[in-house]
Amino acid sequence: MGVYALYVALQPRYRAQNWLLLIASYGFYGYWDVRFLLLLLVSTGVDYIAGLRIDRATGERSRNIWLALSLTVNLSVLGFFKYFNFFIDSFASLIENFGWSANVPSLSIILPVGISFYTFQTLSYTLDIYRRDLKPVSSFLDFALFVSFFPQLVAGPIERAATLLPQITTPRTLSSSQINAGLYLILWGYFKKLVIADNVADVVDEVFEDYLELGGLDLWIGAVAFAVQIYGDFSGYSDIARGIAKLLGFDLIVNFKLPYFARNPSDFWARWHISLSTWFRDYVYIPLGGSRQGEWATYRNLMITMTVCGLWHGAAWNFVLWGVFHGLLLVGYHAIQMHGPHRFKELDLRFNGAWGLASIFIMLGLTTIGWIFFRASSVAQITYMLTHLGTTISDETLELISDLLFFSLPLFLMQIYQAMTQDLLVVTKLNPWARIPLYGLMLAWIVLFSDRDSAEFIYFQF
Amino acid sequence: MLSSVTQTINNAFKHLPQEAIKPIKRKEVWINVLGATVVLMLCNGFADLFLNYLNSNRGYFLVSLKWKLLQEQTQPVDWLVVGDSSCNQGVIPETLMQQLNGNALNLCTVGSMLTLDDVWMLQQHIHHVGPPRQVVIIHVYDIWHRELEEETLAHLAQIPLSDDEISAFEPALELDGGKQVQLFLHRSLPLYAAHRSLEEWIREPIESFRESREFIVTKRGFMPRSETNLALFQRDVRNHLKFVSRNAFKLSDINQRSLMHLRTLADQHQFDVYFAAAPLYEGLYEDRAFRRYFRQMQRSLADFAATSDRLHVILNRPITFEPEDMQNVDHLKAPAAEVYTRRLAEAIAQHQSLNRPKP
Repeated sequence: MGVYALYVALQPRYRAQNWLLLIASYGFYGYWDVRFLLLLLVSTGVDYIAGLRIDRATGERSRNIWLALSLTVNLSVLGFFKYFNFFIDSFASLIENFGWSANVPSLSIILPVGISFYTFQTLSYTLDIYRRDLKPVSSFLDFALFVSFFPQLVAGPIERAATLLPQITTPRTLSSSQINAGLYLILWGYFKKLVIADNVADVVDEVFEDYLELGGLDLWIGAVAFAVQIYGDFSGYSDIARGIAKLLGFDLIVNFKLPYFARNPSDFWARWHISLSTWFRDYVYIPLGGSRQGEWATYRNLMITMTVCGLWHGAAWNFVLWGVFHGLLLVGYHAIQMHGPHRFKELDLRFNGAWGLASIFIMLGLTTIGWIFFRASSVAQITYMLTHLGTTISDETLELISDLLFFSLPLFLMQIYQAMTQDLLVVTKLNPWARIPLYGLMLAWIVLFSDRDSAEFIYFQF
Repeated sequence: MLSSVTQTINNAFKHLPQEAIKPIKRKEVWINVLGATVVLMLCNGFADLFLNYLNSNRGYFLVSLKWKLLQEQTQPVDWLVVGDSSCNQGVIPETLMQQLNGNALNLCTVGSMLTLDDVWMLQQHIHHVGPPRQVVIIHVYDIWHRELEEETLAHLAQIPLSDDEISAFEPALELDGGKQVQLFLHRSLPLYAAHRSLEEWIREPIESFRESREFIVTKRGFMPRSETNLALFQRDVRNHLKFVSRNAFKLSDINQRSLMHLRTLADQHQFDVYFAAAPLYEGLYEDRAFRRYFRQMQRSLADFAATSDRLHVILNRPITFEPEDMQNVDHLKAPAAEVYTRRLAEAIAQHQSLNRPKP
């Protein structure tokens, strides 16, 4: 609050505001672990210099060298902290399968908070400069703030330099409209996280911990509950981050656009974690060739992109399998579009009433199955749950459904309203006699239902 | 109409939604913020009213009720019984009155309030109607080592006195900033403090109503209980045994300060204080580690009692019961409370006759 008051008092001196934000951002990150502030600084320094060098380089070789340096440093840091033990352990398991013994070192490595996010953010900077889509920023302060901007530092949205840097390097307005929207996003974000996600987590934990004792329908309930939990948790954080940014006069990318109303896999990735999906599209899928090199190349590129996307989420095989699953969905959808009945493509384009709703439910079902890969703690659990999904019930079923429905209903109703009005901020436009009591009730529910031992945001672990 | 509904659905899910920011004046932002705050406060006020009549949190109910019972007294009590929930449902004042002379009042609350609540109640009694004639303090063995926790603050916040009145009590609460905020929230924001009870009322209203109706307390402060959960009983035993095997007895700072002020009050106002052990499951007392811990506790209390003629420790061995008589290892069902109260009264009477000054 003190920082914000000072920030407002400095208006319109944006340079002074940038200094304040940078200090606050480093203080915020250093609070998690001051050692990892050094990593952030290294990443910032390397990419700042690489960006300038790439732009000023006269020859292609020099440009490539500086880009390679940026990629190597950033991906090495990310690879070491996030994937070292995973690859070592996987390699050891592999050679043990051939009957050889493996004495491999395992290090006690702490994953720096937000490393996956800020690494991708800084990489997009150097890659855009390399592609000549962007000019480098001359001020180190401005670049450092771009990398470390605290609202989105630890769990996104992953911003592009082309959208965030201009906001840093020019004066910002703190309009009442932005502040109003920002406050609403913070409120709705906390509601999704503290009321919906954290309470539904109890259903998820119960199912995923005792899955061997439960019925097929319970497994479905657990999977749906996790779909609600991860959406509430992650989109809640994104909304809070975007809301805080709006209070500071910044506009961050909308990261979620009602993903569970997606009609097909392509549509899902246009609505879910948009900043990440567009990053993978622009820096992995398209450079691999995208869909320009024929059908089979398209499928290959989709599979590679989604597998890497899965791996980005975590250093464990279940995340890789989740990525592969979504890759197969995209491949399957493309294949049906190319070779399926003409009627199918026509229906999909027209979104005709019943077919449209059916396609949403089918996609929701497939996404829910995918979440089993994501949440399960082992491949054995994934296999068991996938093969035992069904309609059998247990003594717990009624209670699980009741808990899930109780906390999911507000989310479902809000999302329907947002979909019908095509406006994610529709609540801010309600009549004050409806809007203000709604805000008050949301606050009351947050106080009432928030878990005092609230779990941290799920995506912080990435 | 059907086609327009279909059209709306088609448009809703075919296109991606956007964020359209509505132009708004600063005044409207303030109206939103203040209006939402007012609604929140109204919800809080409603919750407060509601819980005054239908509180399903037994601990909060007990604290509030026992302090109100104290406030209703118009003359000093002859036998004031204070302590935790084990004596709340273990000591029947009417039985005590039959065995000993005078009237009796059971103001026992919950263990999380430690001995702080005991000595504060004494001060309020003295302030309100003068000193009691005798005081009996009964606690389960495992409250003595406990310090102030959030649960303590949550229960202390239920005391129906003003902040000024509470801040006059000794020992004073020495709270850091965080704990002061917690206490403030517990006292002023029942939406926050009693959120579990309110949550249960919203999600399971019938069950909550049934539970709130079970809070029966006699006009002298005894709460008869009768239900048992055998699985919980066994788990309770294991937890207690684990605790005593890993810990030596120690007196926490807050309990020590409370006892010292209790001694000051007893010396100043010339009333006797009897420390008695809470009723106990016999199986627990058969355990060697438990007996060792119990003896350490008794020695510590005896050492303290030796510093004043007004302080007495009775029941060198706890009064033990079989599982059928108990709700858990240290809480009695109503019929066994009759037995415990009689034996407690006998022990007090015996102690009094042994220590009566010789003519």
